[in-house]
Amino acid sequence: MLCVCVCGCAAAGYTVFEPIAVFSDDILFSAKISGGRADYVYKRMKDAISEIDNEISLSKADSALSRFNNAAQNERIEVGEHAFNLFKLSCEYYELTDGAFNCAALPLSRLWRVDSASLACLNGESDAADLPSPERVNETTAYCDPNTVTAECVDGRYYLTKTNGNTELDFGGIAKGYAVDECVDILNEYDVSSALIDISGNAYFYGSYIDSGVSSDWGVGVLSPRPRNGPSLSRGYVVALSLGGDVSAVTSGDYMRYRTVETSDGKIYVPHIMRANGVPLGVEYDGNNWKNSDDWVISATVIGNSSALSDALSTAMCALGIDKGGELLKKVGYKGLIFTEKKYTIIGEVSLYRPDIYDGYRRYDYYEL
Amino acid sequence: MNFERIKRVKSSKAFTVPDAIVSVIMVIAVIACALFVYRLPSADVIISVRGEKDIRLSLDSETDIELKHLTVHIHGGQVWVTDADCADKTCENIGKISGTWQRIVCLPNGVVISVTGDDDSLQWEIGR
Repeated sequence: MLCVCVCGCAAAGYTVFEPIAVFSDDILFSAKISGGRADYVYKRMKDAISEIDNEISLSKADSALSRFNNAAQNERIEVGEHAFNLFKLSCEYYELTDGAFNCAALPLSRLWRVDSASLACLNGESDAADLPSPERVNETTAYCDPNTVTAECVDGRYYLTKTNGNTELDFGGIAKGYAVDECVDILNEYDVSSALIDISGNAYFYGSYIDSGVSSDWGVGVLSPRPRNGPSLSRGYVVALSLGGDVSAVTSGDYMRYRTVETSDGKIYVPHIMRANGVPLGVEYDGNNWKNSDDWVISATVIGNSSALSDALSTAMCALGIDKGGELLKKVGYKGLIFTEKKYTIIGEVSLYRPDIYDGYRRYDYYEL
Repeated sequence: MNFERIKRVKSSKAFTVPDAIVSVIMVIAVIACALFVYRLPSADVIISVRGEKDIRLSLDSETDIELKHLTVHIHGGQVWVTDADCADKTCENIGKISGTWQRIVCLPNGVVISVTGDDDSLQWEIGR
């Protein structure tokens, strides 16, 4: 699919850059640029992403964020501008989403073994490890709060200080979107007529799509969230979007990073998306055991100007559920689609591309918000 | 001026059998051209075996694929499975599929069969 797309785009007058791993081995940065100094612009974007990664990577022991996470209570840690900006944005989104988007949830992710390091160890295998007790979840949730961190800018230098020694931050929830926004700022500096920037599903469509000199909307497929463990090629598209220029589209879902756990009552799925109560999306406690809920958000796509905000909102849509998530999206003024196991809804005026062909959404019931 | 000829033409029928034949041929030609230019994009069948190998075939391919544990049939724009060696036969019971949202899943043998649209007409995909 990618090869075909790359060939097609080369013919359409785009300089296409092969996907490269950024942030981690499984996060790919792809770009195609039409007009302007494509090679130079691409290099600037790559450098910008690398700069962000150096500040916020949790796999690099000397990154500013790793130093902060390992710091003691009230120890002031100097960080870079990107880490500072990401923290400020994350706090803003934490308030906006009523805690559904939380950059301080890393201890909870670790508790449920759905953080990046734990998932990499499991490598898709079922996990027999015990799930945490509800008491342990409540204890951990109490300090997973970005308000336990203070941010200061003094004489052009940036500092973060934790007021609870257990607090740890992870900007993985908006880093891709933030990096895409930085890339868009670079595109704006040069005479680029059309471009597509994508960091593993955080896409930005810069200008209209140009084919043989003719401008049109971008046709963008949204991969089906089911079957969960199928390769992307066999999942097909749940819907395809027709997007005008200068807009970002981001999808989050329960199928992206999750683990399966064998319990006495059977297998349950534990997605990496954490809700404000410290329990992962689609998981609930029945008084005796953890189990999967009857219905939950399996895919949320957000379309908006800022890729960072779209990134945060798509995660928040999943955590909040179809009703509250949809209302929040309306409030922000962004557009999107939310799918649960049974139903779907569309927020705002979303233009579908060839709904007669890309008709996966038809197997869900339409839900009016 | 040949007034006789003008008179004959004026008195003849406005729409004759040859005219009708030419009109029908022209209408058929226009419809054929329209179908050629605006033909619906073809759909593909994706057969995934244990998430490792994807086989992609046209939904119009009129073929039978014998896999190790089952046989996939693609005929008349439909796909179905027979000869599954699993116990539950769920994949066979799903019957024939043809829509882009439909799929046949054989969990015991790790086979997923789905129908996709003309993906190549899209410029990008999200949700990976």
